[in-house]
Amino acid sequence: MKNLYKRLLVLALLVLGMLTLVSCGSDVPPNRVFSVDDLEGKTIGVQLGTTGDIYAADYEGDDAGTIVERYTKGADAVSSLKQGKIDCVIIDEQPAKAFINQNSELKILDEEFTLEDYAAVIAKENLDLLSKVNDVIRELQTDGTLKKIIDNYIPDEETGETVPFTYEQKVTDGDKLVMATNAQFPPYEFYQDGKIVGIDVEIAKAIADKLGKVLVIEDIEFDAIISAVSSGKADIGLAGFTVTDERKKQINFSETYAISKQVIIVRDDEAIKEANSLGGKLYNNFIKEGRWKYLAQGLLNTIIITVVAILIGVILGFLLALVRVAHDKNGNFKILNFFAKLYVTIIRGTPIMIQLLIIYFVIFESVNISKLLVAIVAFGLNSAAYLCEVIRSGIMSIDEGQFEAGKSLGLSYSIMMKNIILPQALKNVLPAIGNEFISLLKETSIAGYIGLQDLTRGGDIIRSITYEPFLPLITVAIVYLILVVLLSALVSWLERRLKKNER
Amino acid sequence: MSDKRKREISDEILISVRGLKKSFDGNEVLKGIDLDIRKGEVISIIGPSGCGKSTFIRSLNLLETPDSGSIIFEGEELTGKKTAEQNRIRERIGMVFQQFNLFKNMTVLENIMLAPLKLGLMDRETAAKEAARLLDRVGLADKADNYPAQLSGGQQQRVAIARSLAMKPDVMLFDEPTSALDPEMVGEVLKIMQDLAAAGMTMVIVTHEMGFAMGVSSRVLFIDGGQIQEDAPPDVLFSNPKNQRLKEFLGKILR
Repeated sequence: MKNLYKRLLVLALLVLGMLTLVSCGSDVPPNRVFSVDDLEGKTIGVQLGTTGDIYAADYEGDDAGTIVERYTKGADAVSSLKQGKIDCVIIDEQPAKAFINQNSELKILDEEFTLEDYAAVIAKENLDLLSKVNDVIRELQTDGTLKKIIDNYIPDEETGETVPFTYEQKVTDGDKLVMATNAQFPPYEFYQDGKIVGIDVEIAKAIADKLGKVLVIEDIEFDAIISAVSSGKADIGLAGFTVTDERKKQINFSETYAISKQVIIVRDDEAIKEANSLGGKLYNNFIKEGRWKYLAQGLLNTIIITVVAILIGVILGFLLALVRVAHDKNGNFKILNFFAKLYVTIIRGTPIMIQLLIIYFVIFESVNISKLLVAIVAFGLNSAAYLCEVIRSGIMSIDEGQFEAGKSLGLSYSIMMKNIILPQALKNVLPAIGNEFISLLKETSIAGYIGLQDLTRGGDIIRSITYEPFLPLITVAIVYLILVVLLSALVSWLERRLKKNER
Repeated sequence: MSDKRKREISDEILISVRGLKKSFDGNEVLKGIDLDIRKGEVISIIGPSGCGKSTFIRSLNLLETPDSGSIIFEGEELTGKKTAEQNRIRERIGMVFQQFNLFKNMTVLENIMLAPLKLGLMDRETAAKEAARLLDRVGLADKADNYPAQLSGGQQQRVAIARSLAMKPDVMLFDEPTSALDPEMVGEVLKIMQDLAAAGMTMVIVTHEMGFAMGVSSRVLFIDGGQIQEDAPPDVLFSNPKNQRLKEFLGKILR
């Protein structure tokens, strides 16, 4: 054990040290974009599926060689800009302002594109909800609540000050109104003190209240919101959606509640670079506002998903393997074997991320089901297919003589399997099973795609608040590393225990 | 080596084989075998490799399923039985393999106890006592808690014999029991088999040990080309072979 900890420590420090060196050694190139006319031939960062994306796409593939880099989060685009990976970011004005408030080395170009309207999205067939939401938005506009909500987050142009206001929810119990959003878009939706807040959230609170419902917020990827709403996973989508014709084909828009414009963020060469100490960075990323809790909660979810999925995988994989072997050895279960084979082929032949999305959006389309459960089911089913093949190969590798000896004593197939074959087979494939556990643990990092806050997403949230990719990413990597090392230690302990039987 | 003269061979037929045929991928290995095995007989089967003797002995407890023909064991037809019934009959037919096939995940004692215990023939205490007695009989009382991998080939084969005996079988089949052993270990296994024969066990042995076949058997079968070519007491078969192929076979072996 002593040896293990030493090895672990050395590994972790090595990784940390290497990456620190890499990150310190990079030089950020000077700004090259000074107006809209400079965009040609540059690398433009946008958030996938936003109007900024649509706008930038016009430049893509031109003769000047413009490149559009699409990020799932605006904050990632901003981080890339800071590091000099891209030349500019085209994004909505208000998030852009929030970004540069946090990043003194960035600035917004003094140029505007077309004005845009923000509206909520509601499923095509849900016309009843649409008209109710429209009524509420009109009411909020008339009685001035909407202005108060916006003034709380967006400073007055002249005074530069915000006016504090919080919408008081009166309804605390009853039916739920599920709002899908992507909480990486300040000031419309973002994390503060562990909660999702912002203009859209306040508006949603008001809508829920007027409908007599309790608001539930689902934080998912931006490009998944429309499918979440149209599949019924969420009732309403509020995430700074600009009204576009393309989107109108899939979804209905409510009355608009805010006006925005697209702006260009670039590096400000005159700004003085912040020289932040490591201690300050640690404080900012983990201690301030209790941000470590995003990682702790994420770690807990990652562990829950992995452990339960492993259990499902082992049990189901085992049963599948038994069916497959019984068929191969004795010719039993022809139909079951066909389905087992089909299952293994489909699961192993498609990416786990697609499986996760299909299970969430298609199979449990209109069921209000816990995301944790969806992730557990998806990863468990995936793991079962791989474990089925691992266990099957273990059984098939057992010498035919062991079966014959059992048969010659008059033992039934089940007694033989249980007492003779499986104990040997499992011992032989234990390293391969351990390998599958490790893969599974790391694969759970895509759980964020259905808005589940796992370890990876916990780090993402911190990153979206602090715009510092380094510490959150490294910390997440090290936590995974520790988990994997612990898991392999557990497997090799099991191996040693079983090895005692033989030499 | 003269026990066989004194053996009690009853008239009661234990196993009756008629017209047994078996092919593998269109290659006919057994071309119609007829044989009666009486209670108390010790039958050695000899023949060149690939002649079908192994397939024949494995057919007797249905490890190979015959294509046609019948095998009647203690008045019951074996072929065409359901798996559960096959298993019930196999309990009474012991088998010892060339490669011993001890259960690698169990100690010697557990190997011997497993079948009587799991098939509900004995309680744990009786099974353990019986296993210890059998181990003592094959001279391995001190190896009870060892795993197969810790034993020599000869020791493993003796355990395998004890494991079969634990089921109190009516007949024991030996499929080349000494072929995989180092020469210095052949003797210890043959000794156990000889003791078994002396105790009156009905035995069918596929073997290359001509000395053993001659000394212990009551009958020797020469199989070649998937058929029994000669069937006679050992002194007759070895001293006065009639079949041309048997003459050639013995000529090659007993130089």
